[in-house]
Amino acid sequence: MNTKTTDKLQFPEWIRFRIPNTKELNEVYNFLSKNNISTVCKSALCPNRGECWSRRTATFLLLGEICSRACVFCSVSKGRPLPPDPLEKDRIIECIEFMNLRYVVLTMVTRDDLRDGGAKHIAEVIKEIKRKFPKKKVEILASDFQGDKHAIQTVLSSNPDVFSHNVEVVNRLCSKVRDTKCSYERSLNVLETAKSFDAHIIIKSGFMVGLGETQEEVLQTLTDLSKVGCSIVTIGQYLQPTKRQVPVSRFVSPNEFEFYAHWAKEHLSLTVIAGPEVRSSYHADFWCDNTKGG
Amino acid sequence: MDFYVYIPDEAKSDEPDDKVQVSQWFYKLEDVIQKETDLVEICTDKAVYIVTAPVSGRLKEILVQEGEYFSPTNPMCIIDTDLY
Repeated sequence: MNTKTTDKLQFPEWIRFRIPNTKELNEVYNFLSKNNISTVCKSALCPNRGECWSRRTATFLLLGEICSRACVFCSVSKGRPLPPDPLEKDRIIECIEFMNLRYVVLTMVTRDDLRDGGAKHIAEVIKEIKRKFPKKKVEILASDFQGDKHAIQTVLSSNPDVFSHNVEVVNRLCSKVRDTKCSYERSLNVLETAKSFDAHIIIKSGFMVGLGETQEEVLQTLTDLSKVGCSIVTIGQYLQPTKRQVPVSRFVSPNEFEFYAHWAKEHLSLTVIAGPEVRSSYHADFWCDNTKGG
Repeated sequence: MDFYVYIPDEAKSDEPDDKVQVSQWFYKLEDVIQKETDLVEICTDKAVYIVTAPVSGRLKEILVQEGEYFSPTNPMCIIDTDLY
């Protein structure tokens, strides 16, 4: 039975996501479900997934769907993860073929339970993609591997085209919304380490706004990311996935997002993709094609 | 034939007590609907979604009125597809 109410949930007019009803969307949805392929699109309840899947793009979630950390903004399941699935790379390969992806975005749950944080598994998946499809580009959105430089090097040895790691929020809010094992400083170190191992790779990061940060803190975060070698940064509006996650503090206007992108271009020569709908891998292929690493 | 329209999986959160609100219908009762045009605007805990019509037909019945909350397991409207 439906509940009658005159109260309307409060979202500003720019928080609107259109869900197409295209053949492509249904094909991708059915393929992912049937073949048991995890995507962060679904696990993180990304509001863009209707649009992205209808464009036949998706971000594959590697090493299972259970994260060993418990960040309070994230809807990915938390707990004790399962052992890595050696057949995962075969499913991903099959899906890349089915979706005819030109640009492959991979991400992972954090695996503090594994000695190498899952680096070897990730590297094997990337190597297999590169072996099968030498012309396809691969972007990896990695965990912090607890700052383990060897693990980062293992991932980079598989030659991804883009290495990404998100700082998620401005420095002051890190301890409030990220798991206690995470730190802003460590995330910057991960990005810097990756750049030091491969000067030509594109380094990317991203963070959310709308969690209580100030404009000065956003600009400082952009400056910090530029200093450690990032070429691309994404900034998007935090949206509370369900009532169990931390609530939105404010909705940032499209003008403010635009200001951040312009400011970063002018002051830091940094490519910033900023907007209410922007997520880490939103239109990632376009931005990778239009950005240089070294 | 009656086609029951549910909330698309792309807007669901899989939470057992999830409630979704219909904020706006883009068609009136008896209107002829074209597939893939904007049908209804719904509001979840996370965001506002514009749901497009999965089929073409005549809007036979609106099961959730504007402002009402409903369970994602229930249909939002019925489209009569016999026109097509």
